[in-house]
Amino acid sequence: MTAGLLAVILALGHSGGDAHEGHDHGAAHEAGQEAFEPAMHHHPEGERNHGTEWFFNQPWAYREGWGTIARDSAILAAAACCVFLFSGRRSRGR
Amino acid sequence: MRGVYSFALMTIRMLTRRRTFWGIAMVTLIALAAIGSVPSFDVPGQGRFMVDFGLFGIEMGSLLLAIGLASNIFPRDRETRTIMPLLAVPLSRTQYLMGRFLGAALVQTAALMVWCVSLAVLLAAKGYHVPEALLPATLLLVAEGWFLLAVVFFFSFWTSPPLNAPLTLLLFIICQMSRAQLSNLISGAPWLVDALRLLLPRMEVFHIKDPVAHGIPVPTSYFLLASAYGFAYTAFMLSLAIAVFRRKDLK
Repeated sequence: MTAGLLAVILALGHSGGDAHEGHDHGAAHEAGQEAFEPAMHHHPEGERNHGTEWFFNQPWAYREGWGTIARDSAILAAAACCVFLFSGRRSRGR
Repeated sequence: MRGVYSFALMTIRMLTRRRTFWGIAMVTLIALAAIGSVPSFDVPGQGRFMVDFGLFGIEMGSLLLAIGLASNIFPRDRETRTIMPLLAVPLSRTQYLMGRFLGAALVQTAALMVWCVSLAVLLAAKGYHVPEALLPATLLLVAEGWFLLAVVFFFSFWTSPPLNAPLTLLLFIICQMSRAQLSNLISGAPWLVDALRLLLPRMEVFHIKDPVAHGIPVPTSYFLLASAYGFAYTAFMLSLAIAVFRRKDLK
C-alpha cells in the first residue's frame, strides 16, 4: 500500500511537500548520516527561509508597504482637521 | 492651552484615586509575573517567549485600562452635574475633552511604562537578555493605547458605559484583522472593506514584538512612521468625538 502510494507520488513528480524546493540540506543529510547542528539547513544567499513569509511580511519588515502607512496617516490627519473645523463652524452657526 | 493642562492635571488626580486604575494595573502586573513563572523545562528561547507574551499582556492591559479609565468619565460628570459649571465659564467643550483625554492618556502611559520596566526586571531576574527595543515596542503600544482611549471617549458621548466596552472590544478585534480576513467576513461589499481599512488603523503596525523577541533590529524610521500613524488615527477619532460632543444636548 505504502509502496504503491510512493510510486504514484513519484510518477506524478510530487516531491512530498512544497516547502522543500529551492534549497539543499547537504550530502550528509541526504545520506541520513548527519548529526543535528543548527547550520545544517542551507539556502541560496539572500533567499528567505520557507515558511517564514508571515514574519517578514509584517509591516515593520515590508518596506514596500510603508508608503501606504504614510498615505493613510496623511489622509486621516487631513480628515481630522476637516472634521474639527467643520464641526466648529456648525456649532458656532447654531 | 493652559486650561487644558490644568484640567488634565485634575483628571490625573481623579483617575489615580479610582480603584479601577489600581485594579487593572495590579492584574496586569500579576499576569506578567505569571508569564515569568512559567517553567522553561530547559527549552531554549524561553526569554523570547517571555518578551512575546509580556508585550501581549501589556497590550491587553492597555485595552482594559482605556475602557476602565475613560468609559465613565463623561457619564459620571454628567450625572453629578460637574460638567455644567465647568463648561459654563472656564472651559470650552473642546478644552474639556482634550483635558480629560490628556489626563487619561498620561495615566495610561505611566502604567505602560511601569509594566515595561517590570517586564525588563523580570527578564533580568530570570537571567535572560533584556532587548534594547523593549522600550520602543512599548511606546508603539502607547500609541495604540491612545487610539483606543480616543475610541472609548468617542463612544462615551453617545452610548452607555456597559455598551461602550463591547463596542470598543469589537473595534479592537476588527482593527486586528488583515484585509483578507475582513474580505472573508464582508464578502459582498469590497468598497466597505476598503473604507474600513482606511478608517480603522491596522493594529499590526504597532506590533514589533516578534523582531524584538528574536533580536532583529527595527529601523528608527519605521518607529517614527508607526508613531505618526497612531497619532493621525488618534487625532481623527478625537475630532469625531469633539464633533459629537459639540452637538450634544447636556440637559
